[in-house]
Amino acid sequence: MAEASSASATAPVLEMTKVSCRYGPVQVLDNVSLTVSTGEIVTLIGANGAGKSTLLMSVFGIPRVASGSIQFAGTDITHLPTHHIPRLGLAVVPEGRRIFPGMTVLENMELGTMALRKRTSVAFEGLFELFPILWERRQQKAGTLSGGEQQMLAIARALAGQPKLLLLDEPSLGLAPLMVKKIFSLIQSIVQSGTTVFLVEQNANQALQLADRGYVLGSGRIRLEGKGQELLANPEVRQAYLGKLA
Amino acid sequence: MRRLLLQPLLTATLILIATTPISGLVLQGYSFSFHWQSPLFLAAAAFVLHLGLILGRIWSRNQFRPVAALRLQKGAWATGPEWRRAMSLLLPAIGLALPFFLDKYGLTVAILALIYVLLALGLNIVVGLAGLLDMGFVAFYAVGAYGYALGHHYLGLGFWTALPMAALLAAGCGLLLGFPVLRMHGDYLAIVTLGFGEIIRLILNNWMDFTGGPNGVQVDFPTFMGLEFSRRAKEGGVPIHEFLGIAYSSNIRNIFIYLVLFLVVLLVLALVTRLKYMPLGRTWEALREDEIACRSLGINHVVVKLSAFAMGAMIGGVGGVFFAASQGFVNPTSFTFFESALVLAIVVLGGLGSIPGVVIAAIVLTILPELLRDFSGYRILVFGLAMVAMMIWRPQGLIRPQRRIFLTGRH
Repeated sequence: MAEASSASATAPVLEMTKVSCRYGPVQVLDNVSLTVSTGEIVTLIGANGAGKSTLLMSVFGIPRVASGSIQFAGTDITHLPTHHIPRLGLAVVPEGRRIFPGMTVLENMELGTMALRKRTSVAFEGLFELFPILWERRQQKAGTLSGGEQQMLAIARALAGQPKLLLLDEPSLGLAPLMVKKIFSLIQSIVQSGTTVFLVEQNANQALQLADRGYVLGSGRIRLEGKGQELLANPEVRQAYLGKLA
Repeated sequence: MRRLLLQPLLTATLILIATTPISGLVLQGYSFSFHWQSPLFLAAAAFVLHLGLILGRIWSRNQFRPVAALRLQKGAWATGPEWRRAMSLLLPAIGLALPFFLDKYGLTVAILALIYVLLALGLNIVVGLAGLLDMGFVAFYAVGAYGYALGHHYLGLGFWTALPMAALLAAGCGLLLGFPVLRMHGDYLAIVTLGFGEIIRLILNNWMDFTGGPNGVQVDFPTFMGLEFSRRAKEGGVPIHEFLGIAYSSNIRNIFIYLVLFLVVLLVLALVTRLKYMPLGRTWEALREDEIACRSLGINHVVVKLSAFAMGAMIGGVGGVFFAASQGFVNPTSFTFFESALVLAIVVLGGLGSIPGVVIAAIVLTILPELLRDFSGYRILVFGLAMVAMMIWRPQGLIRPQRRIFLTGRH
C-alpha cells in the first residue's frame, strides 16, 4: 500500500508544457511549464496581474491556450471542451467563489456532482464532516452565507464531484485572518484524504508554508520554482511577495 | 436496453392482436372491409405509452435524490402543509367543473386565461429559470397557431395530429433561435429575440402565397374521437350532441376545448414542477446564476441553454394551437410585440421562476382587463401603474419562488 502510494506520488497528474496565452494583443502567459504530482500540494504565487488566475482557468479552456499543451492524468486536455474536463476528475474553485447565490447550499453541492457519470451524494456525508457549518446551512440560499462559508461551499461543491485534482484560486480572498487560517487547515485535510491540490494564492506566506512545492509567476513567466520552505526562505521571494527586506 | 424495447413491443403486439378484430374489421352491410390503420395506430400508441412509462421511471430514478445520506422521509416537505395538499386536489376539480357554469363569454375568457397560463409557464422556463431574457416569445405562439392552421390547410392535419406536430415545430424554432444567441446575455439577447419575434410576424404577414398574409387562415375546429362539435356534421360525421343525445349548444365546442386545454395545463404544470427538481431544471437555474461556474462543473452550457429555449418554445407552441383551435381563425395581428410584452409582464409579476405565482398572474392579467372593459382606453395605463407598484412593493413578484425545504434530522 505504502509502495503504491509512493509510486503514484511521483506520477504527474497535471502537466502544463510551454503554455502561452493571450488576450488579444496582450501576452498573459509566456511559455509556462509546470507539473503537479499525485498527493502533492503545489502552490502558484505571484503579484496582481501576473497571470495566476489565467493560468489556472486555462486548464479548463477559459481562455484557450494559444500554444503549448496541457495533460491531465495522461490525457491531452488542451483542446477538450470545457464541460468535458471536469468529467475526467478535475475540479476548480474559481476566483471569487462563484457559488450559485440564489440556490440553496444543498443544491449547490448537488450541482457539483454533475460531472460524475453516476450522480450520487455519497461524498456529501464526508463533506458535511469536513464542513459542519454547511450542514447547518444546508437549506439556506448560498448568497446569504458569510464569505468564509461561501468559500467552504465552493470547495465542498468542487469536492462533491470526487475529483482527483482540486484547483483552488485564491481561497483566502477577502476573508478574515481567522477564516483564512481555517480554510488553509481544511485544505490540508483535503490533501490528507487523498485529493491532490493545486493552489493559486496571493497570500504567499500561508500558501508556501502549506505547500510541498511552489512556483512563482511574474509577468506571465515562471520566475522561480522549488520546495515550499525553500521559496519561503528565498530572499527574492521575501522581498517581492512577503514585503520583507532580505 | 433490450428490456427497454422488448416490453413495449410485447404490449404493442398484444394490443394489435386484441384490437384487430374489433377496430380493424368494419362491417358494411353484409360484407366487411379491413382497416389496417386503426389497430396499427392503437398498437403504436400503446408502444409509445409503455416506452414513455419506462423512460419516465428511469428518468425519475435519475433525479437528484435529495441526498441519500440524509435519509429524507418521503413526502415530508416542510413547505407542504395539509392545506396545500387539499388545494392540489380541490383546484383541479374546480377547474374541471368550471366550464359547465360559464356562459359563452365567460368560457372564452377562461380559455384565453388558460392559454396565457401555458404561455407564461413556457416563458417562465426561459426567463425565470434559465435567466434568458426573451422578448420575442410570441414567435413560438405564432408558430404553434399557424402550424395548426397551415397544417390543416395544406396537409389536412386534424387537431390531435397538429397538437404534437406544432409543439415540435415550435421547439425546433426555439432551437433555431437558440443557436445564434448562445453567447448573448441580457440586453443584447433581448434585442435579438425581439427581432426574431418580429421576423416571424413579418413572414406571416408578407408571405401571401403561403400564409394568406393579413387575410389569415381559417382553422378547422377540433373533433373528439371523430365526433364533431357543429350543429350539423360534415358528410359522414356525427355531431357530438346527437351522439350524447343532448340538445345542441354552441358552448359544447368551447367546453371541450377548455377541458382539453385544462388537462394540458395540468400536464405542463406537472412537467415543469418536476423539471425544476431534476438535473435539467437545476442546471437551468445554475446557468442563470453563473455560467462560468456551470461550465467548470462539467455542465454543457450549450445543451442546457438550447433545451431551455426548446422546452419553453414547445409549451408556447401548444398554447398557439389552442389559440387557433378556439378562435377558428388566425392572422398576424394576434402575434404582435404586445403579446410578448404581456407574457413577459405576467412572468415578472408572478415572480421569476415561481410556478404558482406565474399561474396566478396569468389568470389575473387576463381576467382583469375583461373586468376593466369600461375603462378600456386606460387599460394599458392601469397595467403600467400596477407594474410600477409591484416593482416597488413586491420586486420579487406576487409569489416568491420557493425552494423546497426538507424536514429531516441527521443520521
